[in-house]
Amino acid sequence: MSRARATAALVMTAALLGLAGAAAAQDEDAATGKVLDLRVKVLDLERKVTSQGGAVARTDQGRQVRVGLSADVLFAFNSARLTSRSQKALREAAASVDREAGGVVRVEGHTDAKGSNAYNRRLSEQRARAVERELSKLVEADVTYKVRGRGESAPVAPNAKKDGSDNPAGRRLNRRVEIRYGRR
Amino acid sequence: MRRALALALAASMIAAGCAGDDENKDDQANTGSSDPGTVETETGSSGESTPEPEAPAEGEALGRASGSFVDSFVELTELRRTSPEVVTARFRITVPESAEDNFQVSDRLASEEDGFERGQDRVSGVTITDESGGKRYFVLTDSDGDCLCTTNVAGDGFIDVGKSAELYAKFPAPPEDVTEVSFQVPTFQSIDGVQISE
Repeated sequence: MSRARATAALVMTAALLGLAGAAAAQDEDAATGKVLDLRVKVLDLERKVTSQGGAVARTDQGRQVRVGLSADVLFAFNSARLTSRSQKALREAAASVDREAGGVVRVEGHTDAKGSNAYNRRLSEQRARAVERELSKLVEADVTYKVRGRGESAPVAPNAKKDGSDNPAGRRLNRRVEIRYGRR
Repeated sequence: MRRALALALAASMIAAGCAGDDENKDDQANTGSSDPGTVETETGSSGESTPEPEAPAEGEALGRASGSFVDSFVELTELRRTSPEVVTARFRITVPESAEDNFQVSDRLASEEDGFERGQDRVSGVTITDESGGKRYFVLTDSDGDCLCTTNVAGDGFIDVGKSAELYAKFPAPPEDVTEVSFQVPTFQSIDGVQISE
């Protein structure tokens, strides 16, 4: 394989020298060399760390922070009213916002793929609003909140397995409220 | 004319450089990455690796745990801060001669996020856990969601009876004062109390 690459390099060199020759003798036909641009792909790394037994999942990518709060911890089934055990997770999220966030903090609700689109969108928005209300009480920093419900449109894990059967572990990860901000 | 020649020369040097890099990559392929060249080593019937003087990385494992799915075990051979931001785990899954069946990797070692579709024959589901700090660290991914871990395990996705597969995964580094973590591989028991080497 590397031999093939080396050969390709030689061909490329020959082609380029050919081109140079053609440039010198402008009247002659252009050499048939093929010159391609290099395509460069460099991606940022994503780091995911969970705490509180998975209730809080923080993902960093560059300066962008995403704090995912498990909806199963924040809310009862099909409810948008915060449970008492949501406090610990919300306090951790609020501490991160206070420590790092500047400007806009987005609060996004997400559901799994069960139920209708319209229902999921409404539930996810109500849940996001509930989180924003509580978060704004806990956070002292001067930030602007933008709230929306995205329903089932942005899953972080597959809702179904390959054979189409239910994937409860994936759906559990998808039921969440995300708090997103850029680090100052 | 002179400029064109200089350009051609520079381009050929770049091209030659690329070829050289590629050779290096070939050399490194055996350490994992997305290359199917996962090393398979023969093991004795006891499951212990046979002493081969020239075999590298056959040192004493930092910990060992049994599997739940076929007769198999995982050994953590290295857990090291490879940069201030990254901890790298090297580990080995062995299916001893005594096992009745091979280990089909499939999506069994993949993360929940990868699931069946993306998680085929990759070890994206391994984690390290700072138990006293209450934090679990997941395998680093790029922004496309592809893990920094071994993919195409054992080439064809089967660790055969009497064989082992050398694997790696990279994690976000815990804070410096965290020196001990536990190490989890899906379908295996946890390996606890592992020191992170510097």
